[in-house]
Amino acid sequence: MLGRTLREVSAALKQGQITPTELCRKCLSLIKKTKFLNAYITVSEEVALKQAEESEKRYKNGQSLGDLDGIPIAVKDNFSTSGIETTCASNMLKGALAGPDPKDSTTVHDPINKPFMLPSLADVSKLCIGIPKEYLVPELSSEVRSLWSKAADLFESEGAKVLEVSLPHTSYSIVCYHVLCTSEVASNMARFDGLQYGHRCDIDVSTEAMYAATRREGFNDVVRGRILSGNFFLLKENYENYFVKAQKVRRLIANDFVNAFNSGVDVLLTPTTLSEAVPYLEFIKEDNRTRSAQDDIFTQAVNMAGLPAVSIPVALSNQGLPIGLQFIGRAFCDQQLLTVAKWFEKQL
Amino acid sequence: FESPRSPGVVVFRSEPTAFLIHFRNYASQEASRHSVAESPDQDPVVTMAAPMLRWVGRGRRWTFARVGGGSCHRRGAPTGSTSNRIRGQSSVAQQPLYTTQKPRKGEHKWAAVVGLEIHAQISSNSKLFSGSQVRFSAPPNSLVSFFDASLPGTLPVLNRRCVEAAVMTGLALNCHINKKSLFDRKHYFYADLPAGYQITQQRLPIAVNGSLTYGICAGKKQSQVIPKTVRIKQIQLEQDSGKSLHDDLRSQTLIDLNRAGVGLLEVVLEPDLSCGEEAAAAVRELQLILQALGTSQANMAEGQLRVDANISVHHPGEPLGIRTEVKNLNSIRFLAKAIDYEIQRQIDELENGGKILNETRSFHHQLGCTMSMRDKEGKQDYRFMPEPNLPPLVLYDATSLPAGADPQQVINIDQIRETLPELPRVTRERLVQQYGMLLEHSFTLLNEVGLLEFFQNVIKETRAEPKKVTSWVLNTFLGYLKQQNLAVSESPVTPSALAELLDLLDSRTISSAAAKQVFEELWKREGKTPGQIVSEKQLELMEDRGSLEQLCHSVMEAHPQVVMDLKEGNPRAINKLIGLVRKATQSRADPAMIKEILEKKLSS
Repeated sequence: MLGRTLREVSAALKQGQITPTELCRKCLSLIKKTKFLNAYITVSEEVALKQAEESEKRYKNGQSLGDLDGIPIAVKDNFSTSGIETTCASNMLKGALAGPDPKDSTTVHDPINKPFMLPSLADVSKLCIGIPKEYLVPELSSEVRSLWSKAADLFESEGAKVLEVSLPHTSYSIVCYHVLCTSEVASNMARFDGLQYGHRCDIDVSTEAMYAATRREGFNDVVRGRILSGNFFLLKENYENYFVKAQKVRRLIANDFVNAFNSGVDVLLTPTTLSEAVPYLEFIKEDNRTRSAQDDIFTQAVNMAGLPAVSIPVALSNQGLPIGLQFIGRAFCDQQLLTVAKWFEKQL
Repeated sequence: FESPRSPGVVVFRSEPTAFLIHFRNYASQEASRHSVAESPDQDPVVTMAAPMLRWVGRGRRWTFARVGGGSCHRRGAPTGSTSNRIRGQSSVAQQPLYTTQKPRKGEHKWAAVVGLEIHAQISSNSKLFSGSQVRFSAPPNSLVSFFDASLPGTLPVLNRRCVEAAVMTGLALNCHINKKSLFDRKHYFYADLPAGYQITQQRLPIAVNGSLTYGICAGKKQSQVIPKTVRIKQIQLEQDSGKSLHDDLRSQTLIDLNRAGVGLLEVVLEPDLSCGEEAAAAVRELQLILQALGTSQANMAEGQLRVDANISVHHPGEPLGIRTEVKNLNSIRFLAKAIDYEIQRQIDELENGGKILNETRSFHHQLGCTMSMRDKEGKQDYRFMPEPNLPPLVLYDATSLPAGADPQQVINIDQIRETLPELPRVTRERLVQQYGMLLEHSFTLLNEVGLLEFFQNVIKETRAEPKKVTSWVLNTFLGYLKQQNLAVSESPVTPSALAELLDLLDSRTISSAAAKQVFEELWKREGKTPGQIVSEKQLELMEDRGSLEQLCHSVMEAHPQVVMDLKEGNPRAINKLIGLVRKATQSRADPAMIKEILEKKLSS
């Protein structure tokens, strides 16, 4: 059951082939078996089972909330998950993540109709898909490249226009991202001093000594490296040359995308990763910073440009590992982006 | 944005010690200063607690060091007379007395340059970026939201009321309001700064290029008010930090985050000030403005207004000297003292061939001096960075306001300008126009907390002329308050009582000397009305001219030598006669009438 697609499992739930609690238990037991991988940092077993029971009741009464009712979900650890634990899981499914967040000053105050429903793509032939030529890098594996090409062909065969576009500053985006990201990390991590919460060391000789030891113990070398880099870039003597310069380069990168979209492109199609997932032993041969620099190449440019993007799993590689492709949309045109992605997903 | 809410009515205590400006007015009216014994074997006569005194020279001789070869505003020499009233006024700040230290030959004049950074806590219901309450003296750590404690995942949301307060203050100080301003992070590690950075507006603050006009007392009797202006460099919004309480006994520091995140207005003044007196006057005026606007209660004792001073000295015409920063100034009086001390310290240091270090110093008010706060850290690099969680703050005016904009989500500068209340400067002008008082009187009325309201209440209830009311309120009433170190709110005499008294005076029921007696009785808080006191003590003016003439006659008969004196051309002898008659009438006769009768008799 756990190897099936979401659509298949959802159908199984509706048809009563499996109940939500059974499904939940299967997931929990698999998590326990693979505990050595440390893939799950926190498992809210009781809450999950309780919610599964409620889902089961709803199915019994024929009042399921939708296609995803009863499907267990996992969330990346950097989301604050208190809301999920205390509120009914159905809030998530009703599109709680859609729309403005009054506690986040950088969200746009554009109300979304809830429940959030994605329309079907009206006419593929009216679409214009852009293929950024700078994303065709030598390190791209042949498997990914061929899938990318096939996807482009698919759109073309349905009548959509497929254009090559240029994002000339692509090669600078990793470095630009690195400077800005580490600067923000250095700033955001400054709060971890053990005073109000979190790990605090045993040293109490002085405040400085306590801070230094707490942060040395609490952060691993990757994080400490990023903090040191970030603080370096923010020093008065370096600020202009690094931080401000990176912001300027960021503007150029963002403008690249604006120009591409202005030439009539609705959505860009790119790979998500250079290749299939690398085995662990292979991965650790290079340090984290190098790996990030190499593998983030396709995805961090959208962070620089502030654009919506989505990664769709496309196929399994010859090794049986998943490969995905990325769609990038215009700023604030999330709905159009997701509509195109949904159509593409249906074709697979 | 949070929805706007009014801060509510605030009642605040006045500070027990007189501010420099007020005291100078008062002193000019009383013309009293202490003389100080200068002979070597006599104990110095000290009736004022004035840590400004410094020992100069050996033994028991006192002299007072003068600031910089002359205070920045000329003062008269001490007159040496003591008034009965002033004795025992130990906690009232006396005017610092400067004697001349003979300048050495060839010595240049010194000029001091003082710049101020003033932090005013915004009077709002909740903090600048979070919804926790703003309150003074709450149980420790009871007003702390997740954001204030810097819990990860929390984000800042700007408080509308704080922005309005900043715009109002900027407009009142003639600033240019930036329609777009930015927020930055200023990083440093300290236990009372949970996030490890403070959100402030370093790059592009909300208001720039303003001015603050204040008044300095000068002239021979300190009775003239000279207007002066200090430029305002900028006003910015920023977060306050928490409080650390050092417990040396247990070698620990206790942190209270109630104050962490409270909105502050930082007002940066250009270094146009030149001494403690100017700084004190400027800060006092700023305090009055903030209080009139309601944007801050600006009470220094409660930490709602904090001032740091940057001080340097140089010879006029030469480049500016190295500056020091002086902190820990928590009253206007100490502000002036600290600045004057530091100016003198720097002059002394440089004249003795020393150097001034660019350092931070703290003012110790018990010792009356500044001391270095130096620690091994060296200069801090604050690693300023734009605040990524806050978009630029955009303000509108009538012309730029987008059509159909939600009024809750936009701030209109022009609308705020229209709702500005009357500023102190305008209030004073109005008082001068309306009541014919001198400008310095209006300063005194505004400087003393609650005094203006008292004055206006008396005016409302009395028939007497405004000038009379002014005189009684500023001289008699205020004098009594100062002598007993009371706030206006603690006065035993109510506006109604004073109004009634002035009515009695105005209707010539009693003489002015009698009125003063009645006032003294009223002050005893025995619950009697002026009318009651007058009848009890039989203070009514003598109506009967006839009996008065008889009294004058008998006095003249009893003192022929005085009459002789007078006839020989000594004009002051008449005062003696008047005094005698008055005594005989138990002050129940109008002195003017007595004089008239006597003169008539003498000429006949």
